[in-house]
This record gives sequence, structure tokens and C-alpha cells, in this order.
Amino acid sequence: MASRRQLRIETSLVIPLFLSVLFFLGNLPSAHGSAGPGQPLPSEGPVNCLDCHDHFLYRKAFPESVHGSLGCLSCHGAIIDLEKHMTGLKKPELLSCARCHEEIAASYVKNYHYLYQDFRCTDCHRDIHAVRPPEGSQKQAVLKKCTECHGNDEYAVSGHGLAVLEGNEDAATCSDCHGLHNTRVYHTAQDLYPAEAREFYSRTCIHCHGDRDMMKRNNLSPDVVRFYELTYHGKVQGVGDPSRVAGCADCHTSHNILPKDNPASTIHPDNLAANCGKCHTGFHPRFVEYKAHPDFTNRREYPSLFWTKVFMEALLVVTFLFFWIHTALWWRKTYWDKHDLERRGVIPGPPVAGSEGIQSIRRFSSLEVSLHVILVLSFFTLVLTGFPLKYYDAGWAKPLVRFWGGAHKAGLWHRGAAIVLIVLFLYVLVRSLRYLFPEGRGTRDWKERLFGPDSLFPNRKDGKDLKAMFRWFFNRGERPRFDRWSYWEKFDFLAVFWGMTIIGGSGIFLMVPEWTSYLFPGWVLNIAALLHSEEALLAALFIFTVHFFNTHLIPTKFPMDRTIFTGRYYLKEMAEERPLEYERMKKDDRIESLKEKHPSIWAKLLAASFGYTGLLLGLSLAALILWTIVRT
Amino acid sequence: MKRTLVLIVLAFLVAAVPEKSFSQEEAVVPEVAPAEVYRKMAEGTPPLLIDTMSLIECRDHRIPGSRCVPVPDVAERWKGPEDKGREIIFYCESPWCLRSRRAAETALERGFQKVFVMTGGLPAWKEAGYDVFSEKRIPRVGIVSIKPAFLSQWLSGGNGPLLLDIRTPGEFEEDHMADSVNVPFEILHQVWRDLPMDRPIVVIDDRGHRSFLAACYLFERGFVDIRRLFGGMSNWKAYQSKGNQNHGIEKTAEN
Repeated sequence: MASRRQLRIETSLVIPLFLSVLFFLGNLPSAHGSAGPGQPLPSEGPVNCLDCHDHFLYRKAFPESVHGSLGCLSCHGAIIDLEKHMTGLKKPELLSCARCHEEIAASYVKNYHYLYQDFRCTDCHRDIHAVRPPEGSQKQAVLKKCTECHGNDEYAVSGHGLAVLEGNEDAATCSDCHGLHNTRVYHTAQDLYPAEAREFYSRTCIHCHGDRDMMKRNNLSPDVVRFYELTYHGKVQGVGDPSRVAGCADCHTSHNILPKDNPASTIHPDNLAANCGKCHTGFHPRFVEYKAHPDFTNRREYPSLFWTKVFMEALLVVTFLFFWIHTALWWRKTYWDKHDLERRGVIPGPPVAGSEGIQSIRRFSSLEVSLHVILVLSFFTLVLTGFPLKYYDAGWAKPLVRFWGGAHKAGLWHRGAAIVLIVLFLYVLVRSLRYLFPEGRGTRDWKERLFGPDSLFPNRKDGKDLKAMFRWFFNRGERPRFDRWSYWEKFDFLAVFWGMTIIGGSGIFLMVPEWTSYLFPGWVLNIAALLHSEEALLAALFIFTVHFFNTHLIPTKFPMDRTIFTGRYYLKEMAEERPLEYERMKKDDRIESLKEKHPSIWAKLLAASFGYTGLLLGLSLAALILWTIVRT
Repeated sequence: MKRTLVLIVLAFLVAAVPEKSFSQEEAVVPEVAPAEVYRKMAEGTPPLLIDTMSLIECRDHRIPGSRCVPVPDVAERWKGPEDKGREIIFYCESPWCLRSRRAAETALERGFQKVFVMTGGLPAWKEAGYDVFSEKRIPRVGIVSIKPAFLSQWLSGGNGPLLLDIRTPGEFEEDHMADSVNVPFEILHQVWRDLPMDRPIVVIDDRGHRSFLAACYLFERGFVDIRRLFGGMSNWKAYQSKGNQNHGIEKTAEN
């Protein structure tokens, strides 16, 4: 590469050089010829610049310099009229190094020193007539040059500075971070452009520290960047909103980069509280036990994180393996049966005779419908604000975060929706307890109620139903006869209790990490973040695939079951789907009390628009999430 | 209850009004982009292009065809063209263009009708690839820039340097370092002879962009024991606000 560039410079120089020398020499005779008396031109022979400019620098140092093969006119080409030059009528023009050093010149127009201090080439390359290849490495030469003005003591004794001085060609010299000829300046201390500065400096760190080979040969962890990017700091930075989270330099500083066992290092245990305290306030000292880039694949060093990850992934795999197979088999059975009936031309009769079958009855109260709507809204807000952070790298993450007005605002929406969901959850918890222990009856018969047909708690019949359902999938028996709640509906309901504990608990810890440090050491936040993220994936995918398919997309309900939105369905549906409940109601003579007016057209339209929007949005999100998982 | 309501309404009004009235008070000076300035300068009757930096900076480097009128002079000494309708474009050496905007406002007040500010100032002109020329270039030398922590230590050690604050008197009035001397960059070429040659000097500016050239100017005149404060006064204040109160900031305006 270097030789090619050299060659190009030579060819691009030689021709103009040759021409200008010819021109210079060609001019001489005429100048000589027209020379009048008193004109100080040599009478004979070509003029040599050194005849006048006789200086050690030009006679000795210049021929030995990197430009030594060039003539004076290569740079001072503007001197074309020797007479005017020698009489001082024409002053030498500013020379342009850009004629040869094009690339440097192009990048130099962005250089801070040019833009704000009007530096020219020779202001740094002051010994331009004696420039030689640097003694020692290029990196050391840069360091020497920059420190002529920028005496940065911190850098000189930092890991980078010392390594450069020791001749390590991988270590960062000034120009590796700040640029050589395109030096850019962000005064981080002044907070003028926090976002740009943080992004710029983090990118320059990652440029080397993300290079696994380089890190390995320097005995540094090759995965620090990868694991940083998986933390909250890294994800917010990665999603393109770095102004309010810690980038590399925020904890490690920009010049005082030292290993953590050095007492002068900002990441030395004694300095961590002050270091974290630059952004976080009001935390317990053990807050600093948070790991900024933990390798959760390392079982020995981070056992708690490792096993949390293993447990959550196992949970994900087992849950989806079971429920996706369950749904697929269910689908097959329904379709095959339908096909069989169609082929034989059989139209099954209604389970409830006459017009009573299309009598609307209530399944959910208006309150329950409203609770579900609030649940849907808060759940979607949580998914739409949380997942772009989880998959910060995906193509859809940045636009989504922009839609919310940046990661900070998305975070506020996330917390707001989380609080709504937590309140909702607590309300449902109170309601469940009140069902179990009704006023005036105390704890009497609570077991009957817990395992009774109106309860959402699993009982022995659910186990039997599940077994029967699988037998039915394989044509080995009748479809089980359900009561008010099927086992998958109970699972949907109870899964929320597990989910809310894990995701809500970890979410609260992460919402107020400083307060959490009064309960737990900082590394618990690492576990909380991992749990929160994995459980979110479980919840979102479960709702958007299993729940959607079981409730809405199963062929008998396709494309949507509006019961949850109108609160009502037909009596015949009850008799078909929940025969035990139907019989119970009939026996107790309670059918009359369930009867309702048919929902109005507006209620139906509202239910349809809300329901379909949710379904479409959820399915698209599931597709995006699955696509992102498969791609990585 | 009623009184609280009235108070709340009033608070809202107070909160809502100033924003509007402030922006109305501020005379909006139209801007022209560097490319447009370049085109205009090539015309038969080019506009009056004025560099509002100090004379030292302006003579060191400016846009070809422009004149040097430092900001304080625009108000005090500069007469301007006879034709009040002549186009006048002000520029300075920072992307914020505070100086040129102040100069343009003064010109507008004095009845000039076509007054502009060049967008992005001289840095934007250079970034667009246009040249500058030097009338009297100051040789650049290696002026060591020191950071606030170092200066703070130096000052606490007794035999400290002369703190030369080259900001405007107004900025100096607002807040400055204890024992610092105010010599605005605009008058440095007139008063540099009064500076002591037997003491180290630290040049302090606003943000660290201007002290280098001032230091080079003084170095050329024999003040070889000279340094500058990295990041200027704003960096010093940032350092102070982080709890390093060794050498206080004086607020003359409040005293």
C-alpha cells in the first residue's frame, strides 16, 4: 500500500517537476538575454536555488529528508519568474501540500486545529525541510508531536501511553482516538454535545476493544464490548440514544485508563463509589458491585448469572416446546375433523335446540372486560418500549425508539405502563383473595372454592382434561368436556402470577437501582436485568403465539373471538365449549340470570377494531422478534 | 381555594408569556450560508464582509476580501458605508456566531438595512472548502496547554503564574478567577508591552479556542514562559463545580 502510494506521488510529481524545471531553465536565457545593466542575474549557467538560499537546512538536511528526491520547485512551484522573484516584486505564495497529499488535505478540512486555530501543515510539521521517517514507531512520533502542546500527564502513565512508549503497535496513541489529520474535538467536561461526544468516544474504544484478535494478543478480555453491549448502558447506547447512559469513557475516563488493581484507576474498588456517583446518587456502597460487562457464559466467574441464564433459557424452551406442539396438534385435529365432516356432507346439529341457542349470555362482567383492555394497552406499551432495547441491534429497534421520542421517553412510558400493570395485578390479586375468602364466610370452604369449577386454580380434572385432550388430538378418544375454565385458560391466568413476580419484581429493582442497593448488592441488578429480559421474551411470545392461537386463531374461533371485548357469547357456544358449566347452570336453573341483550353494533365494531388491531400488532411483533432471534 | 386557583392561572400566564416576548425582543438577523457569501464576493459590487474577531486574529487569517472590525469597534468606532442599503455580512470564528450576531444587531440599530450573519462562521467557511488568507501570520509554536487540576495545584503552591484573562470585560465582570487580569484579546496588541516578562503567564479564554493564538502572539514578542488553560473558563468552571474549590471564582457582578 505504502509503495503504491509512493509510486503515485512520484509519477504525479515527476512530470510537473520536470516541466517546471524546464520552464525555469527555459526562462533563464530570455531573462539573461533581456537583462539590462545592473540586474543581479548570474551571467552564465543555470541558477541553483542554493546559490542564494545557502543554508545547512537546504544543503544538507533537505536532501536527506523524506522529500529529498524532490526539487525546490516541487513545492515552491509558484516562483516562475526568476526576475520578479529575485527583485522581490513577487512574494512567494503559500504552498499547497495538497498537490501531493490529497487524501490528507481532504480530511484536514474537518480538523479542529484547522477550523479553529488555522493550523497549516508546517505548523505541526515545523521541520518540513528536514522531515525524516520517525525514530521509533509512528505511534510514538504522534505521541511526541501532540504532547508538545497537550501535555497530558494522565495519558502518559496510562495503560495506553505506557504501551505506546514500550513500542506496542496495538496500543492507542493520540491519533487512534482523536484522528490524525481529521482531529475532532468534543470537550466532554463542558457537556456541550453529550450525545455526540459519548457516541464518538465509545465508538473509538470499541474499534480496538471489539477486535477479538487484538485483545487476545494483548492479554485483555476479548468479549468486554460484547457483554457491555448486553447491559442496560450498552443497549441504550446501541439503540442510538447515548446522551443519558454511561459510555466507555464515563467510567474508564478518556486518558487515565488503568487496570482496576491500580489505586489511581477510576475502576479501582476504592474509587468505584465516586465513579458510579458521577451519574447515580443515593446508593448503598454495595451498589458498586454491579458488573458493567459480565461474561454470563463463564460458569466459574459468574455462577449466579450463568445459572439464571440457563434456567431462563430452559424455561423458554420447555414452555414453547410444549405449547407450540399442543397448538399444532390441536390445529391439525380441528382441521382434519372439519374436512371429514365436509367430505361426508354432515352438518352437526346445534347442541341447544331452537332460538335459545342464539341467546346472548354473559361470560365476563364489564369490569373484567375493562381490566383486560387495560392489560392489553399496558402490555403493548411495555413490549413496544422494552423490546427495541432488548434487540437494540435489530433494524426495527431504532425507528421504534424514535417513535417514542428517544430511549429516555420510551423508558418513561415503559415505567408508566409497568405501574399500571402492577396496580392491575394487585387488584386482581385482591379480587382472587376475596373470591377465596368472601366477606362473612371467612376461611370456611375455601378449599372447595379454590378447586371448584368457578376457580381459575388448577385441579385434578385439569390433569385429566390435558391427557384426554392429547388422546383426542390423536383420535384416541372424545374431546374432554370442560367446565367454566379450561386448563389452558387457567394456565394463561396463572402464568401472569409467575410472570408478574419475575418481571415485575426485577423491573422494580431496575427502575430504582440505587434504592435496590439497600436491599441487595449491585450484582443482583445484573440478575434482575437478565431475568427481566428473558421473562419478557417468554411473556410476549407466549401471548402473541400461544394465547392468540388458542383463543382467537383456532379454526373454530378464527379470526377473533370477541367474547373478551363484548363480555357476551351465545348460549350454544357455552353448551358446545363448556358443557359441564352449561349443565351446571341448567341444573341450578341459573341460565335465566345469565341472559343478556345482544351486543349493539357499536359494541361489536369497537370490539372488532380493538381486537383486530391488537392481534395484527401482536402477530407482527412476534414475527419481528422471531425473525431477529433466528437471524442472530 | 379561589385564591389558589387564581395563583395557578397567573403562574401559567407568567410561565407562558416570557418565552414569546423574549424571542420577539431578540432581533432576528438573517443568515447567509458560506457558499452564498462566496458567490456574492465574486459579484461586481460585493457586499461588505466583516470579520468581528480581534485585530490579531483577523490579521492572522480571514476570508479574502473581508475587513477587520472587532465587535467593540462596531459600536464605538466603525462608521460603516455611506449607503445604508449596502449589504453587510458579519462573521466570526465560532459556529455559534455570538460575536457576529451582536455586531449585526448593532448595525441594524444604526440603520443599516441589509445586515446578515454568515452561518456557522469561519469554521463553516473552511469546512466548505474555501480558502483564507493571512495578512500578518503569527508563527505557531508549541504552547503547552494545562488542565484545571494542574493549574489549581500550581496556584495553591504560592509562586503562581499571571492569569491573563482575554475575554471581554463583560464576561470578566460576570465571573473570573481570583487574581486574574483582564486584557481583552481585542486590545492585546495595544497593551502587551505592559505585561511582565519575568513571570510565567497562563492565558485564559472562554472555551479554549482563542488562547492558543494569543499565547503564540505573546511568545513571538518574547514571552516564552507562557501556557494556556485547556478548555478555558468554562472548563475551569466545570472543574470547580465538581467540588474542586481550591481557587475560587469571583463574581464581581454580585459583589
